[in-house]
Amino acid sequence: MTALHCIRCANELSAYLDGELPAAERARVEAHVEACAPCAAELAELSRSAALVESGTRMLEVDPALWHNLRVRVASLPRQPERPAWLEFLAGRRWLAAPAAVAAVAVIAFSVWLYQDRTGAERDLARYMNDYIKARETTGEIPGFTLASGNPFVQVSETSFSNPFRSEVR
Amino acid sequence: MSGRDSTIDGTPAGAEDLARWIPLAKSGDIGAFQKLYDGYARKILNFIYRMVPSLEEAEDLTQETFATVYQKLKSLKDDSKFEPWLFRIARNYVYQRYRSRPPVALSIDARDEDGRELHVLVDERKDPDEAFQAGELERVVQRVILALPEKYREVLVLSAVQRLSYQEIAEVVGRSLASVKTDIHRARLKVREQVKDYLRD
Repeated sequence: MTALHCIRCANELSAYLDGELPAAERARVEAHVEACAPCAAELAELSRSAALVESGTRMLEVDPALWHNLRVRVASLPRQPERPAWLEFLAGRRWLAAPAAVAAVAVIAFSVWLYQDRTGAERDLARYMNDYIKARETTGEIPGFTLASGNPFVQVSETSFSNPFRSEVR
Repeated sequence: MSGRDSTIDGTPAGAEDLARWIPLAKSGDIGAFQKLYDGYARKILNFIYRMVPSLEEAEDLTQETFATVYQKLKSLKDDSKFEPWLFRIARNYVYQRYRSRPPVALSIDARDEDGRELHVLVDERKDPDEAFQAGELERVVQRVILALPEKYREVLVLSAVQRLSYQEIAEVVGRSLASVKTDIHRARLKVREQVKDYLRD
């Protein structure tokens, strides 16, 4: 059994008095106090002060009128309704909280990613259309485009002017 | 349910006996609720009285506590935790009252159960022999307890007066077991410091 130092022992004295120490720790405190006069004196004084508090704290009796008042009062109080079964199910399984939170974060992150991807695609399309219309308006033709058909959206670019939605640049 | 001595304060029925009334009280049985009230009202009144210095206020908060118990009992999932839950409600009412009226003001108006003003400790020491007469001792101890910082006062009262185990106290105050153990020890050291002159006599 490892010996206790005085400081450590002093910190355990209240728990010792209250019977809150495990058996092994209790035995260590008792062994130390037997061999250490200052700690024995400390324990004796704490014990006397605890006894003083105990004898000076008489338990007050409850006035019977208190129950009668309470009885009248609770008769008019609404009681908390029963919780639905699914809420009871969840309330009894707090361990579900962490995985549920992770799943919720994952769903939110995926939704944000989808939204950004969609808005990015719309932005690219708008930029492309803007460039295309500007080119038609200024030159009447599309610079850098060689018309292969009447539909400008299927034209093949020969310059750096690119359609981000078409991968078959030649 | 107390880990040390559940009958030292004269509670009429043991915690195990009282626990059987909880399911009935949950279903709205007023008789079962009264059994719980009879079993715990004294404990709650005395806990609150050691936290606030007025019997009238302690009675008022005791009634509030049990009215809340009646309304919210269904939300208590583990019936074995009834007592810490009950003390937690009482503690919440005490601190709500503190917020509306700070503890400093309470200690100035401190009165004992007979409505007499609680004297400052240093004045009591003018004549220690008299101070240790039965009624005076209670007043001195109550004054010492009220002079403790709140976090020390509540754990000391729950431990030394209510005889709750450290684990139960940790559940009531929402702090760790280690923190409760340290706070109780510090509270006892402060009390000892306050009463050391009396101890010599």
